[in-house]
Amino acid sequence: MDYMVSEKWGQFLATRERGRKVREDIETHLSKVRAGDALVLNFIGVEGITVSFGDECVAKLILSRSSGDFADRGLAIGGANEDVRETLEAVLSRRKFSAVLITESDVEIIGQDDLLSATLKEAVQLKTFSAADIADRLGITVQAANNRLKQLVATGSVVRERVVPDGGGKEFSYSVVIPTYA
Amino acid sequence: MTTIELTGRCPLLSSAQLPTTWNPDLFDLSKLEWITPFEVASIAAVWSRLVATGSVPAVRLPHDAMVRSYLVDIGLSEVIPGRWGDGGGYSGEPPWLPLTRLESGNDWDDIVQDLWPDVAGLFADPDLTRNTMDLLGELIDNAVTHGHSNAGTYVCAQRYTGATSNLPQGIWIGVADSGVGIPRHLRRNPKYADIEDDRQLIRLARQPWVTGTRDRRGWGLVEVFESATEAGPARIVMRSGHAQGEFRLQSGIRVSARYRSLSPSVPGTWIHVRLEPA
Repeated sequence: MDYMVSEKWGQFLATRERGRKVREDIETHLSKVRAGDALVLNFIGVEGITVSFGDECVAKLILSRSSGDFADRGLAIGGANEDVRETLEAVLSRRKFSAVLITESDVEIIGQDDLLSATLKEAVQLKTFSAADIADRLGITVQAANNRLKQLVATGSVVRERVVPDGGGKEFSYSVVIPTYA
Repeated sequence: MTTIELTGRCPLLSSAQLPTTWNPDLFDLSKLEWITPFEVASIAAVWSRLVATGSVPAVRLPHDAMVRSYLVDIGLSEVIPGRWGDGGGYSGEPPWLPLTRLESGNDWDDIVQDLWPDVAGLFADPDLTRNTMDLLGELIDNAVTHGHSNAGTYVCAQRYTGATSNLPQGIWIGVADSGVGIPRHLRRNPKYADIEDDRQLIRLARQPWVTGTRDRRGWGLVEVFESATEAGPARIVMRSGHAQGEFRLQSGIRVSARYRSLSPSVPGTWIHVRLEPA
Protein backbone atom coordinates (compact mmCIF):
# COMPACT_ATOMS: atom_id res chain seq x y z
CA MET A 1 0.00 0.00 0.00
CA ASP A 2 1.32 3.44 -0.90
CA TYR A 3 0.75 6.54 1.23
CA MET A 4 0.90 9.45 -1.23
CA VAL A 5 2.32 12.28 0.85
CA SER A 6 1.96 15.13 -1.67
CA GLU A 7 -1.65 14.36 -2.59
CA LYS A 8 -2.77 15.00 0.94
CA TRP A 9 -0.24 17.45 2.29
CA GLY A 10 1.27 19.42 -0.59
CA GLN A 11 4.59 19.74 -2.38
CA PHE A 12 6.49 21.52 0.40
CA LEU A 13 6.46 20.42 4.02
CA ALA A 14 7.99 22.76 6.52
CA THR A 15 6.96 22.59 10.15
CA ARG A 16 6.99 20.15 13.05
CA GLU A 17 3.26 20.74 13.45
CA ARG A 18 2.65 19.48 9.92
CA GLY A 19 5.13 16.67 10.50
CA ARG A 20 3.22 15.54 13.57
CA LYS A 21 -0.10 15.58 11.69
CA VAL A 22 1.33 13.60 8.79
CA ARG A 23 2.91 11.10 11.19
CA GLU A 24 -0.37 10.60 13.04
CA ASP A 25 -2.14 10.06 9.72
CA ILE A 26 0.52 7.57 8.62
CA GLU A 27 0.12 5.71 11.92
CA THR A 28 -3.62 5.48 11.27
CA HIS A 29 -2.88 3.99 7.84
CA LEU A 30 -0.24 1.67 9.31
CA SER A 31 -2.77 0.35 11.79
CA LYS A 32 -4.91 -0.76 8.83
CA VAL A 33 -2.04 -2.57 7.08
CA ARG A 34 -2.24 -6.31 7.57
CA ALA A 35 0.51 -7.95 9.59
CA GLY A 36 3.25 -9.03 7.18
CA ASP A 37 2.43 -6.29 4.64
CA ALA A 38 4.09 -2.92 4.26
CA LEU A 39 3.21 0.74 3.84
CA VAL A 40 5.33 2.79 1.43
CA LEU A 41 5.62 6.50 2.23
CA ASN A 42 5.60 7.71 -1.33
CA PHE A 43 7.18 11.14 -1.68
CA ILE A 44 6.54 11.49 -5.42
CA GLY A 45 5.45 15.07 -6.01
CA VAL A 46 7.05 16.35 -2.80
CA GLU A 47 9.56 18.98 -3.89
CA GLY A 48 11.03 19.86 -0.53
CA ILE A 49 10.91 19.10 3.18
CA THR A 50 12.65 20.81 6.06
CA VAL A 51 14.73 19.16 8.76
CA SER A 52 11.95 20.00 11.25
CA PHE A 53 9.31 18.19 9.21
CA GLY A 54 11.55 15.21 8.48
CA ASP A 55 12.46 14.83 12.13
CA GLU A 56 8.93 15.11 13.44
CA CYS A 57 7.40 12.88 10.78
CA VAL A 58 9.84 10.22 9.61
CA ALA A 59 12.43 10.09 12.41
CA LYS A 60 9.76 9.87 15.10
CA LEU A 61 7.96 7.19 13.13
CA ILE A 62 11.17 5.17 13.20
CA LEU A 63 11.56 6.01 16.90
CA SER A 64 8.16 4.50 17.69
CA ARG A 65 8.98 1.43 15.58
CA SER A 66 12.19 0.93 17.51
CA SER A 67 10.02 0.86 20.65
CA GLY A 68 8.03 -1.99 19.11
CA ASP A 69 5.06 -0.16 17.59
CA PHE A 70 3.81 -1.79 14.36
CA ALA A 71 6.78 -4.18 14.38
CA ASP A 72 4.69 -6.83 12.59
CA ARG A 73 4.22 -4.70 9.47
CA GLY A 74 6.66 -3.01 7.17
CA LEU A 75 7.48 0.57 6.28
CA ALA A 76 9.58 1.96 3.44
CA ILE A 77 10.19 5.29 1.77
CA GLY A 78 9.77 5.71 -1.96
CA GLY A 79 9.66 8.41 -4.62
CA ALA A 80 12.03 10.76 -2.79
CA ASN A 81 13.90 13.31 -4.92
CA GLU A 82 17.52 14.21 -4.12
CA ASP A 83 16.55 17.06 -1.80
CA VAL A 84 14.06 15.02 0.19
CA ARG A 85 16.46 12.12 0.40
CA GLU A 86 19.31 14.33 1.61
CA THR A 87 17.17 15.88 4.33
CA LEU A 88 15.93 12.48 5.51
CA GLU A 89 19.52 11.21 5.58
CA ALA A 90 20.44 14.14 7.82
CA VAL A 91 17.58 13.79 10.30
CA LEU A 92 17.92 10.02 10.59
CA SER A 93 21.70 10.14 10.99
CA ARG A 94 21.39 12.75 13.74
CA ARG A 95 19.19 10.44 15.77
CA LYS A 96 21.26 7.39 14.78
CA PHE A 97 18.23 5.88 13.05
CA SER A 98 17.89 4.16 9.69
CA ALA A 99 15.11 3.77 7.15
CA VAL A 100 14.70 1.89 3.92
CA LEU A 101 14.50 3.79 0.66
CA ILE A 102 13.15 2.16 -2.48
CA THR A 103 14.65 3.64 -5.63
CA GLU A 104 13.84 2.80 -9.25
CA SER A 105 16.44 0.07 -9.38
CA ASP A 106 17.37 -0.81 -5.83
CA VAL A 107 16.55 -0.75 -2.18
CA GLU A 108 18.93 0.92 0.23
CA ILE A 109 19.46 2.08 3.77
CA ILE A 110 19.45 5.80 4.52
CA GLY A 111 20.54 7.36 7.79
CA GLN A 112 22.88 5.49 10.09
CA ASP A 113 24.08 2.49 8.15
CA ASP A 114 26.25 0.48 10.56
CA LEU A 115 26.53 -2.53 8.25
CA LEU A 116 22.76 -2.62 7.77
CA SER A 117 23.05 -2.40 3.98
CA ALA A 118 24.97 -5.68 3.82
CA THR A 119 22.47 -7.30 6.16
CA LEU A 120 19.54 -6.03 4.11
CA LYS A 121 21.08 -7.38 0.89
CA GLU A 122 21.32 -10.86 2.41
CA ALA A 123 17.80 -10.56 3.82
CA VAL A 124 16.42 -9.65 0.40
CA GLN A 125 18.09 -12.77 -1.04
CA LEU A 126 16.71 -15.02 1.69
CA LYS A 127 13.25 -13.42 1.97
CA THR A 128 12.32 -15.54 5.03
CA PHE A 129 15.05 -16.49 7.44
CA SER A 130 16.33 -16.79 10.99
CA ALA A 131 19.11 -14.90 12.73
CA ALA A 132 21.29 -17.98 12.33
CA ASP A 133 20.79 -17.86 8.53
CA ILE A 134 21.99 -14.25 8.42
CA ALA A 135 24.88 -15.03 10.77
CA ASP A 136 25.91 -17.83 8.47
CA ARG A 137 25.72 -15.72 5.30
CA LEU A 138 27.66 -12.81 6.83
CA GLY A 139 30.13 -14.85 8.89
CA ILE A 140 29.13 -13.18 12.15
CA THR A 141 27.81 -14.46 15.46
CA VAL A 142 24.10 -15.07 15.95
CA GLN A 143 24.10 -12.37 18.63
CA ALA A 144 25.55 -9.84 16.18
CA ALA A 145 22.97 -10.91 13.58
CA ASN A 146 20.22 -10.46 16.16
CA ASN A 147 21.40 -6.92 16.87
CA ARG A 148 21.39 -6.01 13.21
CA LEU A 149 18.00 -7.60 12.62
CA LYS A 150 16.52 -5.64 15.49
CA GLN A 151 17.58 -2.48 13.67
CA LEU A 152 16.21 -3.76 10.37
CA VAL A 153 12.85 -4.41 12.02
CA ALA A 154 12.86 -0.79 13.22
CA THR A 155 13.45 0.42 9.65
CA GLY A 156 10.36 -1.48 8.56
CA SER A 157 12.12 -3.53 5.90
CA VAL A 158 11.61 -6.85 7.70
CA VAL A 159 9.07 -8.09 10.21
CA ARG A 160 9.52 -10.83 12.70
CA GLU A 161 7.28 -13.41 14.31
CA ARG A 162 7.93 -15.79 17.13
CA VAL A 163 8.07 -19.42 16.05
CA VAL A 164 8.68 -22.73 17.79
CA PRO A 165 11.46 -24.59 15.99
CA ASP A 166 11.37 -28.37 15.49
CA GLY A 167 13.67 -28.99 18.41
CA GLY A 168 11.49 -26.91 20.73
CA GLY A 169 12.25 -23.58 22.40
CA LYS A 170 11.53 -20.17 20.89
CA GLU A 171 13.06 -18.11 18.13
CA PHE A 172 12.14 -15.43 15.67
CA SER A 173 11.47 -15.92 12.00
CA TYR A 174 12.11 -12.84 9.86
CA SER A 175 10.51 -11.92 6.54
CA VAL A 176 11.31 -9.16 4.08
CA VAL A 177 8.19 -7.05 3.52
CA ILE A 178 9.45 -4.36 1.14
CA PRO A 179 7.17 -4.38 -1.90
CA THR A 180 8.75 -6.03 -4.99
CA TYR A 181 11.46 -7.51 -2.76
CA ALA A 182 9.21 -9.57 -0.47
CA MET B 1 3.14 60.02 28.88
CA THR B 2 5.33 56.99 28.19
CA THR B 3 6.75 56.77 24.71
CA ILE B 4 8.53 54.25 22.56
CA GLU B 5 10.59 56.39 20.23
CA LEU B 6 12.50 54.61 17.48
CA THR B 7 14.88 56.91 15.66
CA GLY B 8 17.62 56.66 13.06
CA ARG B 9 18.83 53.50 11.37
CA CYS B 10 18.01 50.02 12.67
CA PRO B 11 17.23 51.30 16.20
CA LEU B 12 16.19 47.98 17.73
CA LEU B 13 18.79 45.81 16.04
CA SER B 14 21.64 48.15 16.89
CA SER B 15 20.26 48.24 20.47
CA ALA B 16 21.89 51.64 20.91
CA GLN B 17 18.68 53.16 22.21
CA LEU B 18 16.37 50.45 23.42
CA PRO B 19 13.08 51.78 24.81
CA THR B 20 12.57 51.92 28.54
CA THR B 21 9.07 50.52 28.28
CA TRP B 22 7.12 48.14 26.05
CA ASN B 23 3.77 49.51 27.24
CA PRO B 24 3.73 53.04 25.82
CA ASP B 25 0.99 55.61 25.37
CA LEU B 26 2.74 56.80 22.21
CA PHE B 27 4.57 54.80 19.54
CA ASP B 28 6.80 57.32 17.79
CA LEU B 29 8.26 56.14 14.49
CA SER B 30 8.56 59.64 13.05
CA LYS B 31 12.36 59.83 13.05
CA LEU B 32 13.03 56.40 11.59
CA GLU B 33 15.63 56.46 8.83
CA TRP B 34 16.07 52.78 8.08
CA ILE B 35 14.46 49.64 9.33
CA THR B 36 15.25 45.94 8.95
CA PRO B 37 12.99 42.86 9.02
CA PHE B 38 13.99 42.39 12.68
CA GLU B 39 12.52 45.78 13.57
CA VAL B 40 9.45 45.27 11.38
CA ALA B 41 8.61 41.91 12.98
CA SER B 42 9.40 43.14 16.51
CA ILE B 43 7.33 46.32 16.14
CA ALA B 44 4.42 44.28 14.75
CA ALA B 45 4.67 41.88 17.70
CA VAL B 46 4.78 44.71 20.27
CA TRP B 47 1.87 46.50 18.60
CA SER B 48 -0.25 43.34 18.37
CA ARG B 49 0.40 42.51 22.01
CA LEU B 50 -0.79 45.98 23.00
CA VAL B 51 -3.89 45.61 20.81
CA ALA B 52 -4.58 42.16 22.28
CA THR B 53 -4.47 43.62 25.80
CA GLY B 54 -6.68 46.56 24.85
CA SER B 55 -3.94 49.18 25.34
CA VAL B 56 -3.67 50.66 21.86
CA PRO B 57 -1.18 53.55 21.92
CA ALA B 58 -1.18 56.63 19.72
CA VAL B 59 1.24 56.42 16.82
CA ARG B 60 3.41 58.84 14.87
CA LEU B 61 4.27 57.47 11.45
CA PRO B 62 7.69 57.95 9.82
CA HIS B 63 8.30 61.39 8.29
CA ASP B 64 10.70 59.95 5.73
CA ALA B 65 8.67 59.12 2.61
CA MET B 66 10.92 56.25 1.57
CA VAL B 67 10.77 54.60 5.01
CA ARG B 68 7.00 55.00 5.05
CA SER B 69 6.73 53.57 1.56
CA TYR B 70 8.96 50.62 2.48
CA LEU B 71 6.80 49.89 5.50
CA VAL B 72 3.76 49.86 3.23
CA ASP B 73 5.54 47.46 0.86
CA ILE B 74 6.61 45.10 3.62
CA GLY B 75 3.17 45.18 5.24
CA LEU B 76 3.61 46.98 8.58
CA SER B 77 0.90 49.41 7.47
CA GLU B 78 -1.53 46.49 7.60
CA VAL B 79 -0.78 46.06 11.30
CA ILE B 80 -0.47 49.65 12.52
CA PRO B 81 -3.28 51.91 11.32
CA GLY B 82 -2.61 55.39 9.97
CA ARG B 83 -2.27 57.49 6.85
CA TRP B 84 0.67 55.64 5.40
CA GLY B 85 0.13 56.59 1.77
CA ASP B 86 1.11 54.37 -1.13
CA GLY B 87 3.94 51.91 -1.34
CA GLY B 88 6.35 51.46 -4.20
CA GLY B 89 8.68 54.30 -3.26
CA TYR B 90 11.50 52.05 -2.08
CA SER B 91 14.09 51.57 -4.81
CA GLY B 92 15.61 48.35 -3.52
CA GLU B 93 14.51 44.78 -4.05
CA PRO B 94 11.04 44.14 -2.62
CA PRO B 95 10.86 41.85 0.43
CA TRP B 96 10.66 38.20 -0.60
CA LEU B 97 8.64 37.52 2.50
CA PRO B 98 6.41 40.45 3.45
CA LEU B 99 5.29 40.78 7.04
CA THR B 100 3.16 37.74 7.80
CA ARG B 101 1.19 36.94 10.92
CA LEU B 102 1.04 33.28 11.88
CA GLU B 103 -1.18 31.56 14.38
CA SER B 104 0.10 28.05 13.84
CA GLY B 105 2.65 25.96 12.01
CA ASN B 106 -0.06 24.98 9.56
CA ASP B 107 -0.33 28.61 8.46
CA TRP B 108 3.33 28.47 7.51
CA ASP B 109 2.98 25.15 5.70
CA ASP B 110 0.21 26.69 3.60
CA ILE B 111 2.36 29.71 2.79
CA VAL B 112 5.44 27.70 1.75
CA GLN B 113 3.51 25.97 -1.05
CA ASP B 114 3.97 29.19 -3.04
CA LEU B 115 6.85 30.79 -1.16
CA TRP B 116 9.35 27.91 -1.42
CA PRO B 117 9.35 27.75 -5.25
CA ASP B 118 9.46 31.56 -5.42
CA VAL B 119 12.48 31.65 -3.11
CA ALA B 120 14.15 28.85 -5.08
CA GLY B 121 13.77 30.95 -8.24
CA LEU B 122 15.00 34.12 -6.54
CA PHE B 123 18.05 32.59 -4.83
CA ALA B 124 18.91 30.25 -7.72
CA ASP B 125 20.80 28.16 -5.18
CA PRO B 126 19.16 24.91 -3.96
CA ASP B 127 21.34 24.61 -0.85
CA LEU B 128 20.72 28.20 0.21
CA THR B 129 17.00 27.75 -0.40
CA ARG B 130 16.86 24.56 1.64
CA ASN B 131 18.88 26.00 4.52
CA THR B 132 16.80 29.17 4.57
CA MET B 133 13.54 27.21 4.61
CA ASP B 134 14.96 24.86 7.26
CA LEU B 135 15.84 27.62 9.67
CA LEU B 136 12.63 29.55 9.01
CA GLY B 137 10.57 26.42 9.62
CA GLU B 138 12.28 25.74 12.93
CA LEU B 139 12.13 29.36 14.12
CA ILE B 140 8.44 29.54 13.28
CA ASP B 141 7.75 26.21 14.94
CA ASN B 142 9.37 27.48 18.11
CA ALA B 143 7.48 30.75 17.99
CA VAL B 144 4.01 29.34 17.35
CA THR B 145 4.37 26.57 19.93
CA HIS B 146 6.63 27.70 22.80
CA GLY B 147 5.93 31.37 22.09
CA HIS B 148 2.23 31.16 21.30
CA SER B 149 0.05 34.09 22.34
CA ASN B 150 -3.06 35.95 21.21
CA ALA B 151 -0.81 38.45 19.48
CA GLY B 152 0.46 35.85 16.97
CA THR B 153 3.91 35.40 15.47
CA TYR B 154 5.34 37.76 12.89
CA VAL B 155 7.90 36.94 10.25
CA CYS B 156 9.35 38.84 7.32
CA ALA B 157 12.48 38.67 5.18
CA GLN B 158 14.39 40.79 2.74
CA ARG B 159 17.45 40.43 0.56
CA TYR B 160 19.81 43.40 0.52
CA THR B 161 22.41 44.03 -2.13
CA GLY B 162 23.84 46.89 -0.10
CA ALA B 163 23.45 49.37 -2.94
CA THR B 164 20.49 51.26 -1.49
CA SER B 165 20.61 50.22 2.14
CA ASN B 166 24.32 50.62 2.88
CA LEU B 167 23.81 47.50 4.96
CA PRO B 168 25.93 44.37 4.61
CA GLN B 169 24.50 42.37 1.72
CA GLY B 170 22.70 39.16 2.38
CA ILE B 171 19.41 37.67 3.47
CA TRP B 172 17.84 39.33 6.49
CA ILE B 173 15.12 37.57 8.44
CA GLY B 174 13.07 38.73 11.42
CA VAL B 175 10.82 36.51 13.55
CA ALA B 176 9.04 37.85 16.62
CA ASP B 177 6.46 36.50 19.01
CA SER B 178 4.87 37.80 22.20
CA GLY B 179 4.89 34.54 24.13
CA VAL B 180 6.52 33.58 27.41
CA GLY B 181 10.03 33.86 26.04
CA ILE B 182 12.94 31.46 26.04
CA PRO B 183 14.05 31.95 29.69
CA ARG B 184 10.59 31.44 31.20
CA HIS B 185 9.94 28.51 28.89
CA LEU B 186 13.13 26.78 29.97
CA ARG B 187 12.45 27.48 33.65
CA ARG B 188 9.34 25.29 33.37
CA ASN B 189 11.78 22.42 33.30
CA PRO B 190 12.70 21.64 36.95
CA LYS B 191 16.29 21.18 35.81
CA TYR B 192 16.53 24.88 34.96
CA ALA B 193 13.96 26.34 37.36
CA ASP B 194 16.60 27.78 39.69
CA ILE B 195 18.64 29.57 37.05
CA GLU B 196 17.99 33.26 37.62
CA ASP B 197 20.21 34.77 34.95
CA ASP B 198 18.38 34.93 31.62
CA ARG B 199 21.71 35.08 29.79
CA GLN B 200 22.54 31.62 31.04
CA LEU B 201 19.20 30.31 29.75
CA ILE B 202 19.75 31.86 26.33
CA ARG B 203 23.13 30.13 26.31
CA LEU B 204 21.49 26.82 27.26
CA ALA B 205 18.84 27.17 24.57
CA ARG B 206 21.49 26.42 21.96
CA GLN B 207 22.32 23.06 23.47
CA PRO B 208 20.99 19.92 21.75
CA TRP B 209 17.97 18.32 23.44
CA VAL B 210 17.93 21.06 26.05
CA THR B 211 14.45 20.27 27.34
CA GLY B 212 15.55 16.72 28.05
CA THR B 213 12.19 15.17 27.23
CA ARG B 214 11.76 11.55 26.15
CA ASP B 215 11.62 12.35 22.45
CA ARG B 216 14.77 14.47 22.71
CA ARG B 217 13.32 17.80 21.70
CA GLY B 218 15.00 21.05 22.41
CA TRP B 219 14.07 24.58 21.58
CA GLY B 220 15.00 23.66 18.06
CA LEU B 221 17.78 26.20 17.90
CA VAL B 222 20.36 23.58 17.08
CA GLU B 223 18.79 23.11 13.67
CA VAL B 224 18.63 26.87 13.19
CA PHE B 225 22.32 27.30 13.97
CA GLU B 226 23.33 24.39 11.75
CA SER B 227 21.31 25.66 8.80
CA ALA B 228 22.57 29.21 9.28
CA THR B 229 26.16 28.00 9.45
CA GLU B 230 25.75 26.01 6.24
CA ALA B 231 24.16 28.99 4.50
CA GLY B 232 26.53 31.51 6.05
CA PRO B 233 28.63 33.13 7.26
CA ALA B 234 25.73 34.21 9.41
CA ARG B 235 24.83 36.42 12.33
CA ILE B 236 22.00 35.63 14.72
CA VAL B 237 20.63 37.87 17.44
CA MET B 238 18.19 36.39 19.94
CA ARG B 239 16.39 38.65 22.38
CA SER B 240 14.10 37.20 24.97
CA GLY B 241 13.26 38.04 28.55
CA HIS B 242 16.10 39.95 30.17
CA ALA B 243 18.81 38.74 27.83
CA GLN B 244 20.27 38.90 24.37
CA GLY B 245 22.54 36.42 22.66
CA GLU B 246 24.50 37.43 19.60
CA PHE B 247 26.20 34.77 17.53
CA ARG B 248 28.52 34.78 14.57
CA LEU B 249 28.58 31.56 12.63
CA GLN B 250 30.94 30.36 9.98
CA SER B 251 31.58 26.86 8.74
CA GLY B 252 34.74 25.38 10.23
CA ILE B 253 35.11 28.14 12.80
CA ARG B 254 33.98 28.00 16.42
CA VAL B 255 30.80 29.96 17.12
CA SER B 256 31.43 33.41 18.48
CA ALA B 257 28.84 34.15 21.17
CA ARG B 258 28.19 37.24 23.27
CA TYR B 259 25.52 37.63 25.89
CA ARG B 260 24.16 40.72 27.58
CA SER B 261 21.41 41.64 29.98
CA LEU B 262 18.45 43.70 28.85
CA SER B 263 16.09 45.97 30.71
CA PRO B 264 13.17 46.19 30.40
CA SER B 265 12.43 42.56 29.64
CA VAL B 266 11.59 41.83 26.01
CA PRO B 267 7.93 40.77 25.84
CA GLY B 268 8.40 37.52 23.90
CA THR B 269 11.20 36.32 21.66
CA TRP B 270 12.67 38.33 18.81
CA ILE B 271 15.14 36.80 16.41
CA HIS B 272 17.29 38.34 13.74
CA VAL B 273 19.11 36.19 11.21
CA ARG B 274 21.46 37.53 8.58
CA LEU B 275 22.87 35.11 6.06
CA GLU B 276 25.80 36.24 4.00
CA PRO B 277 26.23 33.45 1.45
CA ALA B 278 29.42 33.61 -0.56
